[in-house]
Amino acid sequence: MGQLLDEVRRGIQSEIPGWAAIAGQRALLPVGLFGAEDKRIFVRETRVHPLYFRFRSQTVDDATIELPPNWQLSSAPQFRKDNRGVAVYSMLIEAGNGALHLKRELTLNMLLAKAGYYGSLQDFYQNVRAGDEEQAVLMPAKVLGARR
Amino acid sequence: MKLLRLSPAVFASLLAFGPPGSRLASAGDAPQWVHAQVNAPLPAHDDKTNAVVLFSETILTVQPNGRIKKLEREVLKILRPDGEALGTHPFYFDPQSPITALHGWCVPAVGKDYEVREKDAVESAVIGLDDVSFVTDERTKTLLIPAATPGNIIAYEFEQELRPYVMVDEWDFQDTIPVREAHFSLELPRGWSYKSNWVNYPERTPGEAGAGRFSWAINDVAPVRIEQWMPPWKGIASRMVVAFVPPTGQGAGIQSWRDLGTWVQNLIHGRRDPSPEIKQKVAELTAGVPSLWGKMQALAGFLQTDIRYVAIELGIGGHQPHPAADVFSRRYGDCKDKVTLLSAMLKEIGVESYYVIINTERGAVTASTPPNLQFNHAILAIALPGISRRRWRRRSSPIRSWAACCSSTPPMSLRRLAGYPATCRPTTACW
Repeated sequence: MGQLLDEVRRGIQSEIPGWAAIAGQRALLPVGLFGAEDKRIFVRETRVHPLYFRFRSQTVDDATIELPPNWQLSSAPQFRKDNRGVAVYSMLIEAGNGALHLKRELTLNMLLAKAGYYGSLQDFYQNVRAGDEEQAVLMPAKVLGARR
Repeated sequence: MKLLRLSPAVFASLLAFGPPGSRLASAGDAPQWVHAQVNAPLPAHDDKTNAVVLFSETILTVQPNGRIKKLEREVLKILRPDGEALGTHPFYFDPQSPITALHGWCVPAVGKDYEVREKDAVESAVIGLDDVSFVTDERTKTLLIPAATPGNIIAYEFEQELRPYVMVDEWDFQDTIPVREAHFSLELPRGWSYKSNWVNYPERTPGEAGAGRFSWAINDVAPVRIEQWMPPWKGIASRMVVAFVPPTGQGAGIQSWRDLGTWVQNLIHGRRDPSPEIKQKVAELTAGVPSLWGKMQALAGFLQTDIRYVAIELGIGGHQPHPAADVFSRRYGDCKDKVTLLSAMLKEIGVESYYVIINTERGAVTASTPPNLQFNHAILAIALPGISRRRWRRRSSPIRSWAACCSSTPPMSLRRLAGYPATCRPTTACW
């Protein structure tokens, strides 16, 4: 398993078109890089059936993104944590050494809940989406330096 | 273990064979029971409903030799373009349940009827099954009913001869689309009786149409709404499970959970006997491991990493594991094969274990359903060292044992199990 993970680490190269949006001299990066599958979860207004998860789960996305030369972090969202006991979400954004570090954790520690709890879970996922949609702002170092 | 089949509506939403309208279709009048529905009022539905079931009928005829003839009919009206997929309908069969007749029709809003027959069906291995089997003898014949377009009516009829291991059948009268009329008829030989169990629906008493003939009818069955993270279909949808009981004195077959446990016990009898090679491997794996718990982990680790998950399920092989010696020498097997080998290996280090069959879909098997074979996984209940079996049994809700899930997914997880040493219990008791 360790060898396989090493190969995966070495082997994946991909582009994410449109991830960074350029606005003037700034680049805006939504921090929820791996949150795509949570964007459409529990968006229906009403619920009929109980909520059922086949197993408890925890997803941890820990990514370090090397910034282009001479670019720096201008601003980043505050650390965000939403702990509802059975559902926990956190997002941490840090910068340093020419890199941006994103750490996202999503834990679902439940198997079955009555439909009446749908509203709470829906609210939780709205917070998840809000956290994922927050943006880090990057600027060229010389522009950022001049402003400071 | 054999898994559950998808409902036709769910299957149709997954499978797209191309545009409706088969070149194989020919003109042919649909039967009267189809035409009787042409002007029938539609069941309650909303404007997003793709189709409705106007009429469904299942007729089960139990024969004195225990074989069952099953006739199913269904008439649907397509309401929206997304309903066209329902014109592609799979019919499942295997050597225990061959199809003996198959027809499909379309009654278009304008023009002549179309007919397709069994010879027009596409036969294949099962497609779209949530399954992990490498080889099975389960197959489908898929009919492409032509012109399944909005405003048109489609219908099918198929017959099967069932040779079940357990004398149980199900009437699944609820669907993902509204059902206007659902009928179920049962014909039993002289001296036979039945037991019915209603799941997710209030019990209904049947009408009697003569000696040994019973019929049920339900109108306006609301659809099951498909939602994210909803319980499994079997735990939600309404159905009737019916068991057939032969006369006293005739081979009663499996009539209780205990009978089913005995049946499974007989299937696995002798399969857990260790070969000299297994004994040698156990000695090798556990040499130098001081604790019994460590030895158990070493054996479980071997099952995870050295025995590849490959399911070959033919005939009774859907329920009966291969002998431990074969699994060990071939280095592959499915869930029941893996637990058979693990059980044999555990016995070599003095640890007792019990074969447990389960259904991983919550609600598929309940404490009140008659004994049946709706199981899709096998696990092993392992008696922890130092806990007597007697003490284990006497507790009303003990957490005294561990079930080892030796399926395809490493790392192996050891789950707590409500302590049942029996070979077979309803699923709810196992999880």
